[in-house]
Amino acid sequence: MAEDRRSDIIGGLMSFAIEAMFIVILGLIAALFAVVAVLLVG
Amino acid sequence: MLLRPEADDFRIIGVQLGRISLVTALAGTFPLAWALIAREWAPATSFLIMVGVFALLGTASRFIEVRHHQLEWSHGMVVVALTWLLVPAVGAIPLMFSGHYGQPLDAYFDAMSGLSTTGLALIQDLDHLAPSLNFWRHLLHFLGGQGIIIAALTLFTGSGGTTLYYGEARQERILPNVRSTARFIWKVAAYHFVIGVAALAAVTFFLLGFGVWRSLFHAVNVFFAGFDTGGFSPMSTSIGYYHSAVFEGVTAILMVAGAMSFGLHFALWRGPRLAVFKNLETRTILGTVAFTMFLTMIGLAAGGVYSNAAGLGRQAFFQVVSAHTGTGFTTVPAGELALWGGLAFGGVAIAMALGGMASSTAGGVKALRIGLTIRNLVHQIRQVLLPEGAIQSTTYYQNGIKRVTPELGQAVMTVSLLFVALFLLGAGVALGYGYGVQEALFESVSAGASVGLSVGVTEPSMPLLLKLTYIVQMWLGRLEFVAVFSLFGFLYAWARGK
Repeated sequence: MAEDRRSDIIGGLMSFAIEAMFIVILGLIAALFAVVAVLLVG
Repeated sequence: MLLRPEADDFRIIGVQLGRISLVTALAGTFPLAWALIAREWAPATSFLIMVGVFALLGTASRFIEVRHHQLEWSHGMVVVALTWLLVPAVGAIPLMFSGHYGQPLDAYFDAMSGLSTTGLALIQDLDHLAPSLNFWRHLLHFLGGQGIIIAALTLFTGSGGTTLYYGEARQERILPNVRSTARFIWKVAAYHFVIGVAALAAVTFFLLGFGVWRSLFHAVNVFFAGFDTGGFSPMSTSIGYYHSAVFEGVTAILMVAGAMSFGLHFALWRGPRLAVFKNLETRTILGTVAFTMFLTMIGLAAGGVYSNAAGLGRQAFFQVVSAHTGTGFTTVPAGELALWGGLAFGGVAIAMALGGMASSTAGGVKALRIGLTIRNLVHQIRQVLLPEGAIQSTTYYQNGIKRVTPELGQAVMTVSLLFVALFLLGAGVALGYGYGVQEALFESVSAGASVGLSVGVTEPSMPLLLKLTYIVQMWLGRLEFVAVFSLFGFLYAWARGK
């Protein structure tokens, strides 16, 4: 039972961390796109 | 031959609706308690009436005696379709009595928008709404997003749960039975609630200087609306109210988490974590997010709406993530969004129509269907190019290698076309009332794909028929047609069957 709870806590935190990492990567891609867009047509 | 439903069929449906009413009555006690503690007597009275009506319906159903039948597929679908009509009707009572709506239909519109996790709103003077009522609006997102049905399945064991589960537009069952899957869905929500509310409250408290209670109020409400891809917000200026890139970042994480399928949550939770990037659905959504974001940025740069790359990137990023996940949070006012025009407008509208992942709270066509449509198209082209009689097999990876079959392709195309028809329906009605093509299409896609971004068409003074159309779009879009069509089929059989 305690093992399950521990695994759930780690799983939940890992899941949130990966989602946060995904947003950071997406934000960096967005920054790159924005610069490219401004250079291309701005 | 069409068989007319028997009295027992209605009794079974009544019993299930009663159970769901009891669950909703239980949920209604939270804003009631809030109103009592905060001494908001008028909202407290209206919450009491609402809880009373739900409890009465639930209690009345306990006296219904089912004689022969068990819950079957058709019953489950009808129950789900009726749930999504009944809960907003009773749930709109506190909103109706709040004095913030011009007419009862507007309150029903907002309750349907809340439950279907859309986020379009007809409320007036939102910034002065009683906090308990504001909480109820956001709790409706949570109820609709996490699923009242899921709650009922968790609380009441019984046969036929599977049909209710699938009726709520959930395509996958992660664990061996529906009840354990329902429990896992709650567990994911609970963990995200703790982490998400803590993060949002920390930002508002430490960075924005809000007091403790005000921080918590905003954090809880924004969590419900973000994680359930709803789109209501505590203030009329949505997420733009906070003027904080960090707050927008945390909100974006919640929106993405809400638009992820529960299968993906399960994989991230229990592993293997990296395998999720092999999934067709994950790859499709990464591609479409990048594509629509780039399209939006090119449009914004060409239109000269923002003077620098940082502002342009921040606004396009947030609006596209909000649109693609079906949330509807915004950092730009409706009037400014309407000015985007051209490619930027198109990028956001396409993102809304494509939607999030299957078995999530996001609306729209959904990434898996888009990916499968492309795979099916490739399959068809290859078939044409191959010598006559040659047999080819096209596969895709989605939690394992699967084959693209003609039946699968047909099913995917049917739902995708139904979504297109749904979008055109709302746009057609708006065009009939003299709205421009661009705004008519945008708002219709927003309603049908359960998004909630608005360019100003949705307002209290909009035509009555358009309000009704958007209500139907929100209902159909959230349930992905099957449950609603089953209800119509049931009614037809009742009227014309033998």
